[in-house]
Amino acid sequence: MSENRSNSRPIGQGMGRGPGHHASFEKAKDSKRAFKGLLSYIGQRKIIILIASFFLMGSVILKALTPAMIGDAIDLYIIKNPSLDQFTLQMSLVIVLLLISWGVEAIGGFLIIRLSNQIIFKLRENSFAHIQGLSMGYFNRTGIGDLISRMTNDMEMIYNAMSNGISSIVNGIFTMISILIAMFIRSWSLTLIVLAILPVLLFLTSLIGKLVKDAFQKNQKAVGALSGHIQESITGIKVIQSFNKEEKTIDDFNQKNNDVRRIGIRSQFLSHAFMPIMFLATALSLALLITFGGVLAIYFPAVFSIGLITSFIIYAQRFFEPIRQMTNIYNIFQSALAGAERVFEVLETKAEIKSSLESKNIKNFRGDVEFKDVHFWYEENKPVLENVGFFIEAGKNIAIVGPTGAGKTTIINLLTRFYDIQKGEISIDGVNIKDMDLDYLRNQMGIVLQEPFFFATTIMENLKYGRPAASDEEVFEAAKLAEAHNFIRRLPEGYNTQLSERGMNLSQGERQLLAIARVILKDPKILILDEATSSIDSLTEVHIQKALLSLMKNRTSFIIAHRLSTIKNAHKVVVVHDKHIIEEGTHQSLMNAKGFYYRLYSLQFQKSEITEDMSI
Amino acid sequence: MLSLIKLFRFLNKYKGSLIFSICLLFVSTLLTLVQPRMVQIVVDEGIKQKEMATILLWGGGIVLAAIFSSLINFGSGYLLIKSSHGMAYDLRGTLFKKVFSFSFQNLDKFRTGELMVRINSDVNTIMMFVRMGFFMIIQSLVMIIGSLLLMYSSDPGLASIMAVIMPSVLVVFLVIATLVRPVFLKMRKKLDELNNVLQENLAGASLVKAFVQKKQEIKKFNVKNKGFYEISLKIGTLMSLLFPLLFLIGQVTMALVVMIGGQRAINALLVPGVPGITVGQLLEFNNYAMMAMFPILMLGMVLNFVSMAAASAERIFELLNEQPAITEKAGAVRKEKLNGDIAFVNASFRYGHGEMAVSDFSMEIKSGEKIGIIGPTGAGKSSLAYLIPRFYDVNYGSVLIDGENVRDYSLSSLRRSIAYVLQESTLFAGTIKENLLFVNPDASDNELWEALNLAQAADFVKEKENQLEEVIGEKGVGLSGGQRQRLAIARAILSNPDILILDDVTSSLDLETESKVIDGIYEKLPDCTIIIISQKINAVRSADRIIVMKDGKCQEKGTHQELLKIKGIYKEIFNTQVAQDQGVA
Ligand SMILES: Nc1ncnc2c1ncn2[C@@H]1O[C@H](COP(=O)(O)OP(=O)(O)OP(=O)(O)O)[C@@H](O)[C@H]1O
Ligand SMILES: Nc1ncnc2c1ncn2[C@@H]1O[C@H](COP(=O)(O)OP(=O)(O)OP(=O)(O)O)[C@@H](O)[C@H]1O
Ligand SMILES: [Mg+2]
Ligand SMILES: [Mg+2]
Repeated sequence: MSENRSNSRPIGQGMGRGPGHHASFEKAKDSKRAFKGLLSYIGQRKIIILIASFFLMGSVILKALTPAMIGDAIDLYIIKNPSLDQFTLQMSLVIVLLLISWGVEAIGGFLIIRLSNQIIFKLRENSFAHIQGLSMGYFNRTGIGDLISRMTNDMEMIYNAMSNGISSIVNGIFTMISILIAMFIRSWSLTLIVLAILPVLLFLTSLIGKLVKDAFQKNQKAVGALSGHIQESITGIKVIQSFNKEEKTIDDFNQKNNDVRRIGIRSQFLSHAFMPIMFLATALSLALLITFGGVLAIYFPAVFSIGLITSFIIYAQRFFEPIRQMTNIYNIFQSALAGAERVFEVLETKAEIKSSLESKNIKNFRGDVEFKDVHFWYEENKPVLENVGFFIEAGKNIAIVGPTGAGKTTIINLLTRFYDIQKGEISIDGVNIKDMDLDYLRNQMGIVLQEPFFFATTIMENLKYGRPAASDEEVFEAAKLAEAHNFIRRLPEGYNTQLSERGMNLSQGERQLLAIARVILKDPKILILDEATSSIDSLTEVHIQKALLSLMKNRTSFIIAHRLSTIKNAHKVVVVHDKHIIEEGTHQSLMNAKGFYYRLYSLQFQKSEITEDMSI
Repeated sequence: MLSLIKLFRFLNKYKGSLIFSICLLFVSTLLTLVQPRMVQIVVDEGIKQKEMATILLWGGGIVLAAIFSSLINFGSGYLLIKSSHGMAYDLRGTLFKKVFSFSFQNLDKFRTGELMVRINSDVNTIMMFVRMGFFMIIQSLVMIIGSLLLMYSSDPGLASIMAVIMPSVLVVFLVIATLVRPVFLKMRKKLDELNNVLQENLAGASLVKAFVQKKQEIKKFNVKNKGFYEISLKIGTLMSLLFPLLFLIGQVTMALVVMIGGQRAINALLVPGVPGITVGQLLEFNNYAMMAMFPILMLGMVLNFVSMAAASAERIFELLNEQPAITEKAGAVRKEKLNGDIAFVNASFRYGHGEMAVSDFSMEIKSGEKIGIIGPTGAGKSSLAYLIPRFYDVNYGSVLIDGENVRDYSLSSLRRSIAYVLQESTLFAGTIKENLLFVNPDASDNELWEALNLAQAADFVKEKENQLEEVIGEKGVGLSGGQRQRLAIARAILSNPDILILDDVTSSLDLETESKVIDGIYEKLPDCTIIIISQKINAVRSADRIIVMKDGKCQEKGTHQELLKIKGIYKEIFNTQVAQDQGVA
């Protein structure tokens, strides 16, 4: 299975539609695989399930014995030959057995609970680790909300089924079997009477069960749509408020909220219906038992004692309880299976981009980077780069310029192997990057992304992200170089200031300064700055420039920027336009060539203005 | 606990249905209660006396009672479910509206995940409590009291034993519940922590990859995973001990009742004259005891619900009690159109207790004027602009639009007429068209293309396979940085604003495209007051007036040419960006 497998839907899902809540019941094959997957997780621990079942069974048998013993006590020691001692003894025995059955049940229950927790823990751990290895393309296609819901809701469904399901089923089945056996031993005819109602009951419950299943599926969908809408609106709340579209958003919300109510009422009512139906069934069976049993007791008092009938009354009441419980469990299992499918879909997604098996590391890393005849598309047949080739010598820096949307960021995405090229070759020091260890490759690079991301923790921790072992002094040093030290110090809590989500309590430029400091601290072999200073004022930038220049000395650097001041000192400039590299050279040579680059940067300011300015 | 009770005001609307449902439930429960009595009559008067007719009569009675009870139970269940879902609907709606009444200042406090959980699962917990908990509490109470009364009528002695045992059982439950409650709260917290790590890791996936922090992230996650595992196991263990314990208590009580009752029956048989009970009575008693124990078990389970619901109610009230920092005043001015005059009068503003982000800022902007703002990082440019549509309120001084304080306007008239393109352009998952229509649902395709043209976005939209119908991902995934910015600008233009604010949203555009966007807007929207914040001379130079901000203050102002003559900050910026670079080659 490749990553494309889960790409059945286009990027995004339409406004407000929830991230991936389509329960996929339709694929029986997938359910089977998911089930097998779960079994493999139980694996070695199957023995635990056996032991736990054994304990649970023991408690069920003990519990089933007690009504019989009570019935006997009444029959033998009150009615037949009254004896206070015998009766008391028998009843005390009942109480002791109940105590034992509690202990046994608690142990069995504990074993199951521990097992379920362990399995979910492992499943979460493995899924998370696996997700870390998946590529950016996968994240963009699947959506964050969807992945989160797989890691939380779906896992919870599986947990519910395991923790409640296993013991309920063991409990239910053994309860029914043991009651059945107990009843049969005492009187097969009375047993048949109790069971008479069963076919009707099974028919009714399976009928309702189907309705309930459908209703719950619809319900899950509606709930998913609603939570997707909430997630998206809250993420974009500032935009919504700035356009005064609260009302529209709330209207949309109300509509989805209303769906949830309508469908919720339906599904809950249907599943509620089990309760009165079961009660009715119990009553019917009781009535049958009393009537026929009564008749039998009148005509065959020797066989059908009053004690016998009494114990059957108790049996009948107990017999139907596990059936009711198991209809509940059925729903839980259905949801769990759907959840497991979604979880295993993630787990079985193969990483598109990974280290090659015999990965070569470069002994003496220099940093020569070469793109040879590179072709790339994000989506098939929509080429973004064609025939892109350039060479940058180790220790030199290269500026990538071009109009917006030309493919500059894409070139960086390829060098870092966020995406893999379809044709051509990218090599460092002559080694194809596909042949390198992925972590090794990325460890050589320091990237400031176009949209810097921060964790909701202290500035200090964020800065140390690339090098957790760095000392505080080193952090200050890096921040000073990046011109971030001053503004950080002015914050009330300095380096211990808590950032809010994505660092939104800083100004955009301040975020970029932090991102640069973070990379400086990492001290990479290859430096990549993707519009890293776009929101930083020119005066600060001049200062950073100095720091960056010394940083870029002796390390290969890639700079993407629109401001000339940022790129004019580059050793080499490549101009990306319309999928190709159309010009290449130094700033001066390109200006002299009076081509695309010249137009991009010189036509902005009339000569008159500049000369006038210069004359001042 | 208190918050849970306070939440019940959301049930007011459904009082009628609820009360009716409870009455029905009461009747249906009573009907189930008579069942043991009928069984007793069949045994004592039918089977023992060999009275066929009595057996049939009461047998039929049992069925009939069950049918009625079931039907009534259906009705009661329906009403209850309807009310609980209705309440959840109202509560969710209220919370959602509440969140949208928050100003930026409130929003800075909460994380997206936290808000989500409150509107979603916390409300669901409350709903489940109303639906199940209510049902169970009332049913159990009726059953307990009813069976006690019935027992009393049949044998006061045994009944008084039960009357002692049952309350003590309840006390045991209460003790258990108080023990379990804090563990539940802790579990919720641990789950929140787990979700936060997960959410951040996925949102920052490219950073994690670029910095090769996979191992660290896994470690971080596993710490949270372990924490959650431990607390979940703790709860699980408690439950696997306590639930059977509840059952045990029920069963043992029953056995005790039978034992004591049986002993008295035997005494009555062995020693003539001693008042005793019959076997039928004993059985009946047995049944009632079971009936009374069952609801006690239910109450035990309800306690779970109560603890969870109380925790959720607390979290819900945290939201409900949060006061929006910015509200409309009564009788606020409503205007369809603004003229577009803006004035800052000694305006000062700061976030929390930090330094002044805008300090003592005064300036007048005339309708239709084009203003450029430039200045160092963190100078307060965005903060200043935020004050115009009242995203934040000034701490001192005032901001006037058309001569009236912004605080006197209704928020909707302000924001309808002011289009603010935020520095971080947020797009929604969906088609390009949906994203645009969001601000102006009635716009025709022509108008869409016009806006796209003006924002220099038409070209790349046309290159997309599905053009306007092209689907983009969460937050605009699938577009380049500059493409996202231009879409956001097009969206703002489409809303026909009287005041347009572009907060550094041309930073990813090349100079040529940037000039085209700005010149185009200036030309096509002559009456619109336009404020452009940027770090690029290119973006501000054609403005009527340029403001250079530093440390929250206006340092220089004037036209491009005037500022160049001053030889201040602006000139310095100009030098670095233009003259020096080009070296006037
Ligand atoms: N994840 C993606 N999936 C599909 N198409 C994409 C994706 N990312 C970018 N593109 C498309 O690829 C092209 C090049 O995008 P890229 O981000 O490389 O541009 P850029 O030169 O960095 O532009 P900018 O200066 O605006 O950031 C654009 O047309 C864009 O729409
Ligand atoms: N939500 C916030 N909470 C607390 N402080 C904030 C918040 N937003 C901004 N600040 C602080 O207020 C000051 C001014 O920020 P502002 O965003 O107005 O700067 P700016 O001039 O727009 O800078 P930039 O050019 O980098 O966007 C900064 O020091 C910043 O750290
Ligand atoms: Mg880019
Ligand atoms: Mg800003």
